[in-house]
Amino acid sequence: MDQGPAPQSNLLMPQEPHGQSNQEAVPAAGSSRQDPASLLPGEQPDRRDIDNIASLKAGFLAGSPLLIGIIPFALIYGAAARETGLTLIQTVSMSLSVFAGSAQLIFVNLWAQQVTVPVLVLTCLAVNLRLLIYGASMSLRLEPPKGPAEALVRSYLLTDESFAVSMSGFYNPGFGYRRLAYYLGSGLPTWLGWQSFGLAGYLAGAVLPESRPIGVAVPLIFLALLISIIRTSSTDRRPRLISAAAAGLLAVLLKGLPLNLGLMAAIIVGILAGLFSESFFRPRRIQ
Amino acid sequence: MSHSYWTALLLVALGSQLFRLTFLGRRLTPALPGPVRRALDHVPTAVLAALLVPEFISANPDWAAVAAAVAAIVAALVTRKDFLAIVAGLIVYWLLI
Repeated sequence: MDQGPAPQSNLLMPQEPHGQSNQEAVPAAGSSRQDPASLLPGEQPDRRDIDNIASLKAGFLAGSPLLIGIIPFALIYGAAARETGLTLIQTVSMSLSVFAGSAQLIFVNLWAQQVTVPVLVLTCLAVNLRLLIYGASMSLRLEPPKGPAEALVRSYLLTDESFAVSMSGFYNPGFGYRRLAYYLGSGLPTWLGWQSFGLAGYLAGAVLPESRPIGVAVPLIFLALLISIIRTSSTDRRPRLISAAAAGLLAVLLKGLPLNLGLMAAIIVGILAGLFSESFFRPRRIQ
Repeated sequence: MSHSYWTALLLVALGSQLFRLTFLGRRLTPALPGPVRRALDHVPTAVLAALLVPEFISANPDWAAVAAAVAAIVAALVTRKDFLAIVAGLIVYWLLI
């Protein structure tokens, strides 16, 4: 199946194919996703003549190329967790229960700095807020869950990668699969890769010489992701730059505040700076 | 120490799953208000910058880390590959420490 170019793996940002956003018209509650009138612009209808297994396989194959981007992050997560002093159980438990690469790397980074629990939790959750957007956007394109178990499974597999791959598929004119199965299939390679290579990174950390610390790789990942977010922004990049500059500068200035409150203050000010700076720049889309 | 680890992990895990479930597990999907969505767009940028800048800029900077950051920035801009940026930064850091 021609999936078109594989979407770039980006651990943090929503990928809205063809400029779609979650502010689109919401299909009426209970409307069938087979009803052409309920489809969003450009969206391909669900295929009932294709079975779930074929759709799951197609999603799995479409999501597999993103492993190239996931494996290095998972290895670094595992090795950094070990270097921080986390046990194998703690490291694996985090991967299984949180299953969000950027939040886990932030967790490890802040844990190493002995940041207070409330600040650590709030920072990790702040970066995971994007999952709300993914969920809102994805829910418009899937049948409502049939029960709590299905709702839990489909939400657990919601990641940057499964969102990007599924959306890319749903808007591909040649798409001919069941959407839910395709979406679940697209999330499986990420899950398998993240769990297995996170574990491998932890075990490999034992053989890394002490003269080659891996801890610096975590802020380097953050740096690479930040550049990627700013560079790939579909709108004016300046508000994002201002947001980053304000947050970074304030985080340095307020580093000494008790309870690491400077970090939270810097994040809030950075968000507000980005938000308000939007009004100073005429909206324009980057080609 | 261990108790606080599990407490933090439990809260992050529950919060993350709640974010995923909020819309994806419901029958009705309200659209997010525009200002909220726009604010959410800036969260990753602000969080990453607030986390990483103090790692490289401080009163007593680790110059090897600063050089690694510069190498990573250059590699990211030239190659446009996150992974190569990290590798470049890590190599420079290991060479300098």
